Amino acid sequence: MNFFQSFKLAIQSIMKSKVRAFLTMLGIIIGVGAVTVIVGMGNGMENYISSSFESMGTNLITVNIQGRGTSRSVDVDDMYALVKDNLDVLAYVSPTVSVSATVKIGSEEPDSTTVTGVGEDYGAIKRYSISNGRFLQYIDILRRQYVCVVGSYIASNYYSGNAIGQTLKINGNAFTIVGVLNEEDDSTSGSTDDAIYIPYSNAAKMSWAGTISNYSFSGADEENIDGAVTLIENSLYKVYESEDYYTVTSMTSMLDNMTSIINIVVMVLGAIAAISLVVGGIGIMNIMLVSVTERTREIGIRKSLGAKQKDIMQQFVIEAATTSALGGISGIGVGYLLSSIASKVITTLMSTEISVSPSIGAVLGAFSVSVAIGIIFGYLPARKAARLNPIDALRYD
Amino acid sequence: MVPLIEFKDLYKIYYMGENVVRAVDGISVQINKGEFVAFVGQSGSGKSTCMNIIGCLDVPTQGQYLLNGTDVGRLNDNKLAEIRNKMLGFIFQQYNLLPKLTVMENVEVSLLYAGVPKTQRIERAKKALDRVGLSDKLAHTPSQLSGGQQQRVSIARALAGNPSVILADEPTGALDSRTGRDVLHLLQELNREGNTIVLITHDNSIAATAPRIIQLADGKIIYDGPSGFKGSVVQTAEEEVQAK
Repeated sequence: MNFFQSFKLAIQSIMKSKVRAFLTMLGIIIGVGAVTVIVGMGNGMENYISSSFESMGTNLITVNIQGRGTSRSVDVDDMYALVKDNLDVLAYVSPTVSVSATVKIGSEEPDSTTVTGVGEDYGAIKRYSISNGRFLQYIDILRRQYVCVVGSYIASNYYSGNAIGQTLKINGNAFTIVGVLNEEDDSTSGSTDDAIYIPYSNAAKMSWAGTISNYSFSGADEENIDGAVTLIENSLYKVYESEDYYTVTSMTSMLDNMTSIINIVVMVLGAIAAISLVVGGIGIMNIMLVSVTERTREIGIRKSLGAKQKDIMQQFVIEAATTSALGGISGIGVGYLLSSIASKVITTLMSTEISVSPSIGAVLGAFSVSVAIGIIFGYLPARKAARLNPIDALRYD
Repeated sequence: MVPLIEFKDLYKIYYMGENVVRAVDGISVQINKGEFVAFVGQSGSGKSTCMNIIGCLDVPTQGQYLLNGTDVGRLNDNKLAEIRNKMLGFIFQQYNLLPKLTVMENVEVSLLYAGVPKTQRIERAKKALDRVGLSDKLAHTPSQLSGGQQQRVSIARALAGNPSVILADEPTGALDSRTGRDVLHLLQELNREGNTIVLITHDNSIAATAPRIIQLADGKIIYDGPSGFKGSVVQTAEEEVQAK
């Protein structure tokens, strides 16, 4: 009795009781389907996050200085000098000053609009592009000009696209709009496009602290962001002589953190889904045990005709594995179906493109696990069948 | 000549708590190739145990069982399975066909376990079914056949493996007397063609089909001789009528 014949026998036996076979498979179908969808969602989320990080620039490094008294401090010039001396590692720097300001555009006072004081290279660091006019320039910063660059939401929402040359008021000061950025986000209130950028020199004056404590750097080489981070950290350490007074964060390390969080979530959810695989396996074992009892006479007949223990064993293990594998294949199908539905639902509900795509590796893994479960949980009933005494089995009614 | 089947002082003892049941109690017997022997006895006489031992479904507690000169009483499960497959053909009272398989597939089962290649398997199964007159029912399932036909399928299944011994355990037990007689005639023919046949029955008139009768009671042989012999415990149906 070879493998192929046992396999044929298993298919025959499954086909004879379709409903039972389907119910037996259900646990495996649900388990494999769930694992496929969850892994797919994880992949989709990871892709979404890394692509949105990439659009922000993966070579972005942000520095926050908490400061340590007045004797030790770093000023804007130190930071510009740091970039200038290390052009092989660092490309640009820009101070960033968040201003909690009252913005008044015409008669409206939007409260979701963010006002940030930045340097002339900020646009290059963030990879913003100009749709109209120009970005802030060195001269604006030097002279503390009352000029600003606005996001696409402000331009389209308040000025119907003709924002250049118009003025808006920040904390009572009138700023002339000199540039409009291209759409970065989705042009809604509170998004990246609902922002105003002013010279940091002006912003520092308007903010209550009067000091500049945040900087954005861009690395010269995306492959050497860690080197850039180390360089900035070292230079800050020289000043503060402790790591407690500043934080240096790179987008890449943030991306890594996000990715590992997603991976952990996927693993936990996957493990929960995998429990149903085990439950499915127990279902298979249960049905196989029933099947062995029901087919005691058949086993007796086969043994009297010369079936060895291994032949009987093989027959039942292959039957269990085939049932389980069929469940696995259906589960993968269900998983793909649910994935494409989920992609559509997410796209319509959240108006962001997260494609739920199960990886081939996960699918193959789920399939092999389902076959393995069939073999493991089919083993016990198969052994029971193989060890039946032929005389008792023949007499069994 | 080495006897095909030989029991040498054979015992099968069951221990059931305090009770010791001697199902086979020191039997010695020889059956040669080409013989047609009937084991006859009341229920509990030990004939079924004898048949299980001859059929390698069970092993003796004590004594030797030589099948074609080899002691098979001490072999393990797998070796016994191999001997059942190669040397023995079973015919059961309840036919014991596999209900989900066709007639053809049923006859092929033992050949499958023997590893006979497909073309040869089909050829041998067809030949065996032809021999029992069922070559027109190959694709039927057992439930589509009458009892007599099912029993003939099981005879074909026994024949297909070219066994040294055909063991028939109450082969007519589930059949009406006429179909039963046909089956017995078929066994007689097969014997004339050179097959060794061991028939197990509780029915004296059926046992009389065989030229040699071994009568058992309480695990012991009480008669071993020709069925036609006047002094035999077992008489043919005619003799029984005459005796009355």
